[in-house]
Amino acid sequence: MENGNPAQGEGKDPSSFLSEIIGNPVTVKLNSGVIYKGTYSSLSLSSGITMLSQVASYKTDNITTMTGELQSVDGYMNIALEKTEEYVNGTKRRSYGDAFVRGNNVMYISADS
Amino acid sequence: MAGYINYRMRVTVVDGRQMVGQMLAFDKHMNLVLADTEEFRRVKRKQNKSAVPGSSGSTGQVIESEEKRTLGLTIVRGAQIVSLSVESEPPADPSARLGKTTTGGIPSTLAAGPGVARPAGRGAVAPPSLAGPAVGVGGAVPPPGMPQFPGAPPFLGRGGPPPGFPPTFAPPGFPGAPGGGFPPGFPPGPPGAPGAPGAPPGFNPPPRR
Amino acid sequence: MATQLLPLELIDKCVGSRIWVIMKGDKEFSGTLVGFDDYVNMVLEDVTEFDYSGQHVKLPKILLNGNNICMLIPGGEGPVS
Repeated sequence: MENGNPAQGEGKDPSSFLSEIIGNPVTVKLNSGVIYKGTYSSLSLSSGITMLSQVASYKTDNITTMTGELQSVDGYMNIALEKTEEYVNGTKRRSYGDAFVRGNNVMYISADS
Repeated sequence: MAGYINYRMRVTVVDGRQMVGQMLAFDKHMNLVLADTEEFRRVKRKQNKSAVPGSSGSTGQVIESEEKRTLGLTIVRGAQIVSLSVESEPPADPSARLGKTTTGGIPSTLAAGPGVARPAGRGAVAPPSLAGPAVGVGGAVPPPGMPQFPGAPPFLGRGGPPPGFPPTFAPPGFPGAPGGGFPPGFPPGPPGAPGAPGAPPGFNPPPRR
Repeated sequence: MATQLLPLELIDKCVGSRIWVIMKGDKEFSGTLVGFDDYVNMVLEDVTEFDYSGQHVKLPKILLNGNNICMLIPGGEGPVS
């Protein structure tokens, strides 16, 4: 990718997005579909976040989302969350104080507004 | 691969879908730019109580159907590509194709307009209103240094293009001047053609067999 | 001539525009492309996520992992009719 992304000096590329949302409530959707919410942060906002989506298109049906406060991410999209909630197929499954999600499982990280 | 530029290629991707489109470009990752792309996928459905009309005596069976979508100008990620095969040769006569566009009429074949990727839902055929370039779409003269690809919506919220990108932003093949950088077979519209002079004419659907 | 219009340059031209992203499998996203990186991880705004079941979910801003991206359609608004 030698052509690079020269138009992106404006803090709009993935890494600057990540630094922007540190400390904010986020929703993390995994490839398996499991969803996690949490806050990615030092701010520790409370995350009374509702489940964003449920999906049944995967054969596994284990659609997971996590929400929580985002503490940190790295280049692999490894993620540390605080106040994490885990949703499987739209139903809250568990809560964790701190959670680490390995990046290869991450489909997307969404900033909850 | 370079020998297949402008050929209409059938691309199979890892999840089993196939994309058919004219290969305008590729890179070292085998990312592809396809024009007039159509997507095909085999869908298996359990037949429900509401039987599909026309399907005779196949109750409770798995129906396999092919869903087709018209996507227009697309980029296919090389990482997801399984195989490529030639669907048809590149359109032979560029001038004949050009003449067809500049009539301003809707192409006789059902294909998306240049880059306008709006299927009418899954498995549905694009309505005629989407079959050709909308009035004004792609008609604007690209600002200098910022060639638009046909059918792209205007660049929003960016405060307009900066005055002149650094040279790295306009690599060979992306000159600022409109009409440049399009491979043979996509000549710029002649002056006075419908749409703004000098605007790229868009990618014509290749002749159907 | 293959060096004209490289795929990633075309994506670069889409920054600021609507784009339709088709993932491996049956998931799709449409949104405004804010940026992307060398892995084609993408930052999208005003996103709609589509599943095969036909559900769609709105997301204000996401970082989408490039790993499972299959296809990108400049100017696309997703599978809406």
